[in-house]
Amino acid sequence: MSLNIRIASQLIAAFIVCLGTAGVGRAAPPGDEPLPRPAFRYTGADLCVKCHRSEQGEWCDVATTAAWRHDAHSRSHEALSSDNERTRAMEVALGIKAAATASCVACHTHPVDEPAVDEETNVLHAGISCETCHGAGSGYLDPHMQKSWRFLSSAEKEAFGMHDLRNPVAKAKNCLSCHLGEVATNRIITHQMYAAGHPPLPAFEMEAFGAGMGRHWKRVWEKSPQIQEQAAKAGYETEGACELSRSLVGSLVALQESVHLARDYAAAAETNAKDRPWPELAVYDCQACHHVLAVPSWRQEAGYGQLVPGRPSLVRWPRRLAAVAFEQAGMATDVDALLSPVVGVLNSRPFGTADGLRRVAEDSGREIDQAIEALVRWRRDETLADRERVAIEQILASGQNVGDFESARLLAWGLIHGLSSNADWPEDVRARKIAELTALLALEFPTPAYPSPPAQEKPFWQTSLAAAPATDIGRVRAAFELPSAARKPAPTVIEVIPTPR
Amino acid sequence: MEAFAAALVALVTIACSAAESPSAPCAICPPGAVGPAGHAAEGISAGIYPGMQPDPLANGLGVSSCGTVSCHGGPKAGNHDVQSFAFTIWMNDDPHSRAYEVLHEPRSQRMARLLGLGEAHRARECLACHSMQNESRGPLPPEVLADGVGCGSCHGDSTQWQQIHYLPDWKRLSIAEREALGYRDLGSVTTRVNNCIPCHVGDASQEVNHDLIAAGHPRLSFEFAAYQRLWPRHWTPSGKVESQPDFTARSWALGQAATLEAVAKLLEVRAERATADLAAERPHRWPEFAEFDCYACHKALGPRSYTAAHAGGFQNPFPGQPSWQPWYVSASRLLDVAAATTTVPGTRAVGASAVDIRRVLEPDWSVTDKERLDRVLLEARGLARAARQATRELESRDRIVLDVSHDRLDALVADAPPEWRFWDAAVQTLLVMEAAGGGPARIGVWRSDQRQAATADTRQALEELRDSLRFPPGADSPQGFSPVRFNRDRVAVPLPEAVRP
Repeated sequence: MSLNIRIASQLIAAFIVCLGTAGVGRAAPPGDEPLPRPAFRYTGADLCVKCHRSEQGEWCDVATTAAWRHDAHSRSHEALSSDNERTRAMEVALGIKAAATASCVACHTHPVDEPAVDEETNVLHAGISCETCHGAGSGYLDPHMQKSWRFLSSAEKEAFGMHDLRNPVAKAKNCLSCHLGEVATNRIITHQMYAAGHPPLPAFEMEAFGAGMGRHWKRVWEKSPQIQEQAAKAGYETEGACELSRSLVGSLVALQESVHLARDYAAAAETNAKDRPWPELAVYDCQACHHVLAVPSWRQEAGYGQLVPGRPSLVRWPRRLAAVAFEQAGMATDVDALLSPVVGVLNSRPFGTADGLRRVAEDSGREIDQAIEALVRWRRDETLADRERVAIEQILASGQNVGDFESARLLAWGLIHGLSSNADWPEDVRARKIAELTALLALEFPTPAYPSPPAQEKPFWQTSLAAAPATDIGRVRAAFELPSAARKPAPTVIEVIPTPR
Repeated sequence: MEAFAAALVALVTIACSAAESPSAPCAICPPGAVGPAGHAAEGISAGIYPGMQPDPLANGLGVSSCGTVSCHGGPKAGNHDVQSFAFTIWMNDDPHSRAYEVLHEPRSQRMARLLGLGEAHRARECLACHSMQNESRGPLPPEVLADGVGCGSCHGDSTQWQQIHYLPDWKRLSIAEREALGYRDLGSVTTRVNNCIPCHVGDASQEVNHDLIAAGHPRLSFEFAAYQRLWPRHWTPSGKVESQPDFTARSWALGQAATLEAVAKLLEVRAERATADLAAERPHRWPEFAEFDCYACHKALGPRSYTAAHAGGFQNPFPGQPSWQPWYVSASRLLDVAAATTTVPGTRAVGASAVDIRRVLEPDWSVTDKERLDRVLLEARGLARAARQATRELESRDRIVLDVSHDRLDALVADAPPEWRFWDAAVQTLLVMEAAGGGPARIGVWRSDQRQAATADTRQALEELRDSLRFPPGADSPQGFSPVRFNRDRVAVPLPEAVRP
């Protein structure tokens, strides 16, 4: 009883804190304003490890710690050390100290300028650890060990500082804040940093990357019926129905965030041109410029859409999968049309203007939210296989005229999620297709998924465009062919029209 | 009909040959007209030759008016008078004769479509260089357009001189008198190179910018001596500029000086346009990517990229900054060193002026504001001035000798190593070595001592060096180029004694 009162009082306190800081994280004014301070303190991964290291029962039943130790995130802080050869070269080229540079620290570990960081807990030496994603632990450390915790809704848990990573939108935003960039939290990788040697950020698909880092969680639908029931009561249906639907949501969030990144950067440039000079090339599509000049040229073949040839576009890779997502949401939204105001600004001069991008970038939001809402409503019922099959066919069709490699990779990851769970095609056909795409588009991850032992060390960035067979888009397109004939007979819900003889 | 025309021409030729001196009456001229001086001073338009009707194609005689069998279109076989089959050479061997044709190819049509120019073969932007159409002439009839870059492109609009230039009196006209009729004199290296520049470098009325390149147009990189050497010659060298003992060196030095002036003026034009557009808040094209090193951006991202081969780190340019025109900057440095161009007191050398542009243009290269553009303009004018001066100074020399001894080149490379990391710089180095006298056998007309001095070994070594600079199969960029290896191979070329001063 006293415990429940304690939780309740903490809840109330947390809500008050939340109200006080509402909106700060989203729309922080860029420039000289201090970064938003989290309401909670990092307690350090050491405390998490005490419980999440072995079989402890349903809610922490994966050997999380062991999985995380395999995870490249656990070593991300090593990149801040000058002992690292690449880091040293970058430090020399840029005239900086990585460990003392806010934008390096922002993604490679917890930010150092937070007064709440406790030296003793070794937070700085744990890379991207539990709390980076799940939220600073001081508020929820005790409460989440209580039995009643599982009955709280995600909003209630958020009040304690724990983020809801089952929600695909929240998770995508969380991952993309580093894997794409986020101005408000200083998670900015600049073109200068890339040029000095930072590996390129490849197309990001949260479910594949999640599996690639070594999954240390279970889906609600993989847990026991009893837990599923409890989760349903707590409102965890937002998790989505399958990896594919989450992947589609992720592409929409990535599309949105890529535009927001440009918008926020443009706003920052307008108020603080000294620290945030315009244009920052890192908010544009890497492959717009960085492609080998070859004959024949896949870049030439891909065309320019509404862009004036030779003008850099914003990040392109989310667009094709997002187009599938809109179709799946039953919307007629054309991604090119959605982004045409942005393209208009980009055509007005190479890289566009800060003022223009800042003003036009907001228009896409409503339709994207609407599509996400529809996709999150997918349920694990008898309609799921049908939905998946249609999405798979759409991805295959899109892949057969894909123009660039990063877009192809995102489509391929989406396709693989679909084929992994959908049994409409024979298992050997699916396995072959998955293997083919994985090899062709360098989709495998260097860190073997737990519980496989760490094999040869391959740098993470080799899963990027550098490793893709960068000239033969024709082969990539061909790999998206999966004849419907190979499909098993359609289930009875679909009326089969007999072929006329 | 054709035979009749030929006979008529022959008759006219004989008739006019009778005129012994300018003062003697001409057989076909009306009484009172005094020979060629009268032809030139009054011109056909004055109507003093009743027998000569205004040409039906008064606004542009096509190549067919030059290429009759008895004039310049004779057969090659067994013929030693090159002038009599100049047209035949142009028609069969000279790519200029296909300049218009190429506009009908799918690639050209696609380019025009992408850029919204309509049909390539009707677009002013394309015809400016791909036909004899230019701003100063009214619209040409289609059959003249179809000639591509024909006789008139270099020799001048022949409307006023076509019917008199075969008369013996023509020979007695001064160059100024001929040019008053639209004829263009190509008797010196400078006049020749200035004839090529408007298309092969660009000017205010025609340019190959990055939009055009992205749409599919090849990049321009002009070096007059090499172009001249590769070009099928349709005239007898004896008595022409070719017979000068320093012809190849002169072609290289004056070619580079004139080209650099044009490059500076084009930059000036681009910066002026951007300034005006910026002030009027119109769309513009600054930064003009075509001003920068192609391969700075156009490379695969990965450990084996072109940049990764650039030994010596990233100090210059700063990470992420493309270099301004490495092709022309290296040419300017070579011009200063190899041709020892002297500087008028109070001005800067060509090489130093080019480096001044780099210093202004490269830091924050993508930023567009009036202050920066003003500085670019200032420096561009400085280079144009320096190049003009160099032209004047070189022209005043009786003999131009190029010093490309390895000591010289080594010192040049050691002086500014980053500038010699580029493939462009390596090719320019090779071209000056070839022009200095060690080049392949086809090089212009050689002095006898040079021909002996450039041994088979030298020629072979230069050929090998040339081969090492070729793009790999299927590539349109120098993947795998190594400046270190190039310099090692360069030093291994045995230089003929004659080119060592």
